[in-house]
Amino acid sequence: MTIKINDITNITELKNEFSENDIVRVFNFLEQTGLNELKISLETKVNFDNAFHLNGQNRQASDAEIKALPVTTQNQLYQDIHRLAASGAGFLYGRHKIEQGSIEQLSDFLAQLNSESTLKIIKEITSITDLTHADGQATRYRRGDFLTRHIDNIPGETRRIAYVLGFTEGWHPDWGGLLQFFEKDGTPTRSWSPAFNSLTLFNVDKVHSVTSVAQFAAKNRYSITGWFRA
Amino acid sequence: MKLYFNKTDNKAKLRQDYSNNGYVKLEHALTNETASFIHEKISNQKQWNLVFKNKGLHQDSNSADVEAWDEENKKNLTNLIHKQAENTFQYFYETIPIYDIYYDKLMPGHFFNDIVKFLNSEPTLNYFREILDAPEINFLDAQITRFKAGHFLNCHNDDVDGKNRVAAFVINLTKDWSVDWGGALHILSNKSEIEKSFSPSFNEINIFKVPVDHLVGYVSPFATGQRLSITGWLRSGQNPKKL
Repeated sequence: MTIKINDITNITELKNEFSENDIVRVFNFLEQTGLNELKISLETKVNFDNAFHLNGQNRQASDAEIKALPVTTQNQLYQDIHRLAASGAGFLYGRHKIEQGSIEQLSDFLAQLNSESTLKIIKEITSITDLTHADGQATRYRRGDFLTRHIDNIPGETRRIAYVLGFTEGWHPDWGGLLQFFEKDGTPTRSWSPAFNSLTLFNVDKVHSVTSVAQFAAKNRYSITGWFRA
Repeated sequence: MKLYFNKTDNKAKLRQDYSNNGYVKLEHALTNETASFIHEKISNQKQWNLVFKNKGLHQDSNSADVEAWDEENKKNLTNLIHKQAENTFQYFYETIPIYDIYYDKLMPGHFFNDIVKFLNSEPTLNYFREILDAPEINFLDAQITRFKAGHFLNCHNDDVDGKNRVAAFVINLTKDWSVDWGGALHILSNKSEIEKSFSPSFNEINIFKVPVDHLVGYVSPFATGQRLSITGWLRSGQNPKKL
């Protein structure tokens, strides 16, 4: 296994920050070895489906499936997605759930995240001690992709901590794709531009969004996200 | 109608905020009547300039004319603008240059002149001088701006030689905006991280010290509203257009 998590030397600092804000970033999360391979895998090997919200349902379709639709149907699809997004209920981005059959680099990564030592560190930073495992999905935001405000805490689910690990180097905040946090009333608190190899951890009750990626973004925004669960 | 600022009883706090952070938010800055009156006038405005850069030069088009173009030409224009947004400073939004309109006497008798007179009046300038602890402020310039779906103002620091800009201001006059639509004013820290974000709002003034890197975030293609504001700079030195 080549993917490894760096020794985290400032756990107390991270713990204090999390306890104060319910959000924290762990920079330089993965060791250099394997990191680049994982990044290139995300860019070239992973098959992403487009996830979107339509008619009250979360749907998924590949580029090929969408392209196979008549052009008027395709246009209608995006119009419907946008109409719902305008009223605050929507998303459109590429996703690939990490599961059996996923490429080795992704499975290795998820195994590392689920190792006893990593879970211990996450418990320490967050002071949430009933974490037992993490799931994961690779995500890709292309021009026009977005995720409107929501919380990740769904009743009946066992999600405790959401995470986002960034895999895009040299992102510019002009391009959008910001992970933005809000007060309940919509006042922005933090806006974080994607940072390479930076792990963001936040409480699943935090209102957040990913701002629309600008039509002039020079690259795609890749990350691995998921939840540490009880 | 006469335009007024609200009386503020927390000036000490605002001064402290500005002095600590280099930016400050003035909520309910204008009287509600004043803000609503200006908002209504601006919302009904038909003529706007569409601005962007092409090959490094500022372009100023009649927005209504561009709107009347066929889809292919419009698409070519946005492609041209986007292409030059990837690696160079770019912007794309609508404006009304009310400072020029007033001092160059372009639209005598128009309401725009009243806004500039109001903003450049001694009581207004004193209000800003006091909160910013900047007695050197001598005048301000201003433009009305409108951002709709697909508009943006990329990162820049407002520092232009000879303009004597002390601080930038944004008088937010946007109603019914959803924060999911983007268009926030993002102020960056030295490390190119976003330090503070202000979503479009109604009757709130954001002020920040110049120079500092900042941007107006890309407005989502699904946004259905318009982000309206009066924006400009508080400047020291002589007003070059002073009558």
